[in-house]
Amino acid sequence: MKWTLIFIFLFMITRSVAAMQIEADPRTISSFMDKSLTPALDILQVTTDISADNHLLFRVKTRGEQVNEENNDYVLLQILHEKTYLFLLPLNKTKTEKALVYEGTLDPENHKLSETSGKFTEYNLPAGFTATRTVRGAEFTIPLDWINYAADFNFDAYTIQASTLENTLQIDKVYDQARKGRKEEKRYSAITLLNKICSPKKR
Amino acid sequence: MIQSILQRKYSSTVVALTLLFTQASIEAATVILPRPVPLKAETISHLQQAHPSENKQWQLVVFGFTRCRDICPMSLANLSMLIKAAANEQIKLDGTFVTVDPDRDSEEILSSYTKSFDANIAYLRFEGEELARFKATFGVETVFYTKNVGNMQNYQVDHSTSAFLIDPSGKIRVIFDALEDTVNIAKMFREKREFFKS
Repeated sequence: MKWTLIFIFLFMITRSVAAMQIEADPRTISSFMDKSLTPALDILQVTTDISADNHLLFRVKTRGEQVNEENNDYVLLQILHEKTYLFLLPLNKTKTEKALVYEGTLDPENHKLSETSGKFTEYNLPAGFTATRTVRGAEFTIPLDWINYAADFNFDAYTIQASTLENTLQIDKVYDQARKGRKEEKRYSAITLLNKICSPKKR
Repeated sequence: MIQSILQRKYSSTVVALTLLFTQASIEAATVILPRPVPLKAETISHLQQAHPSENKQWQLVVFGFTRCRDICPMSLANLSMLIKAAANEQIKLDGTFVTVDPDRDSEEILSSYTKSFDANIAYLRFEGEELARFKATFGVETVFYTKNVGNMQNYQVDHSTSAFLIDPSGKIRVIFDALEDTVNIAKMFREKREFFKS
């Protein structure tokens, strides 16, 4: 019993230290667990990396998976880079693994997606963009030559219900947001993000 | 019922522990930029000032401070190794060390510090807004611990360990970790000769 308490205490200390580090880290979003959501809709973490073929890679992790449910639920990666780009992949594992990409403009002071965010128009996907489902989540890759390194580059992830009509996207419901409950994130340039990905060690 | 609750709690703990430890295991990466990042004229001019006698050279740029006990000396030792590796492949390469701590790093200290690693490593020292602009160009961030009016000598500086390989026309071509990825870069010198002709 005593050891259990010591373990829990140590775990809590470690967890809070890790959380502080991650909060200041532009490469990662550590998301709060939301028990009111079904596991497939609950985002736990978003990480960035460079893939073996030199692409910027985003990994979105959820608490569970959705199979055989007929709905319009998607996992969505939001990239804020001069405009707002939305990369969507159906959550239902039985649906085709076809990525949808939309672009739009949001209020510069409020990038949070909601049912009132308006419509987004289809974005012609340049070569090198991919989206694939993974165990409990999804991976998105973006070619590095798509990025303007002098501009800000921020990202977030959502689980949403959405409807598509011709070449527009309408968000019908937001289930979860990776940065939910966090204060407005600091803006980073794309070069800062790459710098951090290349050099995780500090002194 | 109880078994189901326990099982759910066990799963949550496993997920939490997995996340805790995956966060700690983020690794470095080397980025070869398919679309090189052109530096501003001001930045190119500063880099040329660091090596006034050289022209049309490739450059390696790292950031640090001379009171750093382990990471910065390692970075500079690796930089020196890469300069020699490039020379072996007839690639003209110089190194530049940019201090993020100008309050303690004087010109004299920087000169003797960089020379102790390699005669081909120069230094750059900026202050205030000029340093902020130079750092921002490379996405470098720094955090000063316990630096205050009463303590201007014994403080620690937190900064990234990225190195930037810049081509002779002043474009960032590769970003890599100065501690972990030098072997990859030396291999590039040997195996990607065309890259260094571009």
